Amino acid sequence: MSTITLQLKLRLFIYLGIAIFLLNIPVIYFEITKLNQRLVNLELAEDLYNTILEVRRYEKNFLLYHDRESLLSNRFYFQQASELFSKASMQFQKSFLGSDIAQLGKALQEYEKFEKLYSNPSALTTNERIETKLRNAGKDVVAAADTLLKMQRRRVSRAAGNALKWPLIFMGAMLVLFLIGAKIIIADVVRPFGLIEKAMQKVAHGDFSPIPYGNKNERRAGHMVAAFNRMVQELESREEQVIHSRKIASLGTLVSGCAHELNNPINNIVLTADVLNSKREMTTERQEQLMGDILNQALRASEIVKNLLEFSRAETSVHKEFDLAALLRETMRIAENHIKLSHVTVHDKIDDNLPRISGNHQGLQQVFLNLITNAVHAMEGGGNLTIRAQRENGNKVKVQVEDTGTGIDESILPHIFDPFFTTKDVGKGTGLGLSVSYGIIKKHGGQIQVQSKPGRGTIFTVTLPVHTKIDQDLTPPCGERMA
Amino acid sequence: MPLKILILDDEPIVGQRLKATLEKEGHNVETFVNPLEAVSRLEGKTFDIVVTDIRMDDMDGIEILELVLQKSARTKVIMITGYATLEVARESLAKGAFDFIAKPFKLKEMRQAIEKAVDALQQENPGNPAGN
Ligand SMILES: Nc1ncnc2c1ncn2[C@@H]1O[C@H](COP(=O)(O)OP(=O)(O)OP(=O)(O)O)[C@@H](O)[C@H]1O
Ligand SMILES: [Mg+2]
Repeated sequence: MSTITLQLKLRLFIYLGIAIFLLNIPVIYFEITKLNQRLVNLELAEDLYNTILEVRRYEKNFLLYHDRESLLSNRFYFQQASELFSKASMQFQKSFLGSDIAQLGKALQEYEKFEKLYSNPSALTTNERIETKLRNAGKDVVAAADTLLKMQRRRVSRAAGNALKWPLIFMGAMLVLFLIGAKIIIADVVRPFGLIEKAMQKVAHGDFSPIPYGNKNERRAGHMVAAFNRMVQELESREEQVIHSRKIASLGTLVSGCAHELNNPINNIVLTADVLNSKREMTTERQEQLMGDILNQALRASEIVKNLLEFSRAETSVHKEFDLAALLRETMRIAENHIKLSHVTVHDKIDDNLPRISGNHQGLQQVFLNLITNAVHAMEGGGNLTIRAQRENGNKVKVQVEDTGTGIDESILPHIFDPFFTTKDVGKGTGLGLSVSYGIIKKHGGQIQVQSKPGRGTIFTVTLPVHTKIDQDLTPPCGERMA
Repeated sequence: MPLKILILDDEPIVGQRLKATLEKEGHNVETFVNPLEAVSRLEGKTFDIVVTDIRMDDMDGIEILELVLQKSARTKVIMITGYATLEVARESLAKGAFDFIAKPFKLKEMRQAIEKAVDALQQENPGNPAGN
């Protein structure tokens, strides 16, 4: 059953319904025609019966009074009965009721035989023996006509019953068909929709886990669930690409910060080399000091370049152990430029004894950079940015990014994690920062929450397990390289 | 003639190198890495030339520029900018900076800028560049 697609099943039911309906029409037509025929037959049988009663009435009169008048009437009605009989037997033959009437035919022949004995007017005298025979033949005729009539009555009532029965049977069949169809629709459509609706809500929040093929109900909805799971898979690989493009976007922030940072050591090197290069006399000691400065500044520059490289490396799902405090401070440094330009003061409340955590270094850096960038954006005219990090019970760490910015209006709060939701001008925000962050935290088995007071500020809280087991199935098979 | 020069940059090497060079030319040079200390010094003494970095941790070079000019309009302020962006340069010039130099720069460039400032000071007030 489950191998037949839902579409086929529904089509089957519709065709079956139409077939039953179409069959219904000729059957009912046939039954009504039959009933009509039977009613005509019954009428004929009644006429015949009544005529025969007339025959017998005049027979009785004749036998009482031996008058000519009664005999003639008797003859007349008998003639009429014979005509009706031949009409009826023809009619009945047509409706395959020939055998019903045969009895009456025989009785009529017998009756005629005795009646003929009175055809001669001189024979109007009484003859006990013949009279009795005539009377008995008359009785037989009435009995046969009566049987015929009763039989016709039964047939009419049976035909009426049939005419009523068939529509009822068809209606019953339609009802059964309808109930089965409804059951299938509920099982194959309504339930899976419920299942998929729930799953979609999860997807909207960046959780791309497929619907499990667990219990029977889910298996019944197989094709739909399978289609959904395929879509989720596709979406997830798309999300990896989005994370990638986000990284390129944050690279912009990073590069401008680095450019400024790099300028300082380079400037120091240029100045110092310039001094060394001048033709002025100087002590060896002084020369060594200047050389040392150049060396230090060169190392400083290379450190900055290393940071840049580390961040831009494309291994989105590398999973390693690292120092969370260092990651947070590094991230703050990357955003430093942006922070200063907005006259924002940073408060570092990172605990010194934070545990080392395992996870995706680069992904988490992106999360905190997104949160810090959002916070700074919310404080264009300056404010306080506080980064807190501490160990929590149950082998967890909690990181909070708090700002004193605009806050988030209650009406938009439910949407901020949605992909492409942004309140920023076109070109300023893609609306991907939080949705991507949510996905990354989710993959680490962590949580991201927000509290906000419009006009006062916002706190984003990230909780992460110390030992993350990243679900390897959820990460792409092999790191794509940055284009 | 010796000029009173203040140099402010949060990179200590910048001050050290410029001080050595400019003192050799006979100028009177004071260097600072902390803008707040520089500000309090500027409040107590009037300099002929102030060289300041634009981007620093606690304060921004434009604020220093405004403060200096407010106190002594004839002081020549030379801005050092990390970003050689036209925008920052235009802003500092509009606010009254004498010149700006983009990092990285050579000693010669700085010396030229200072010479230009000396010339300007002499034209404004021949014979008494320090104004006292
Ligand atoms: N700290 C915050 N204070 C106030 N509003 C915030 C804060 N963080 C996020 N928001 C709101 O949530 C929206 C979505 O944030 P998100 O980071 O997903 O996208 P974005 O910052 O608009 O764009 P992008 O990060 O892609 O450049 C923002 O447009 C902003 O309205
Ligand atoms: Mg953002």
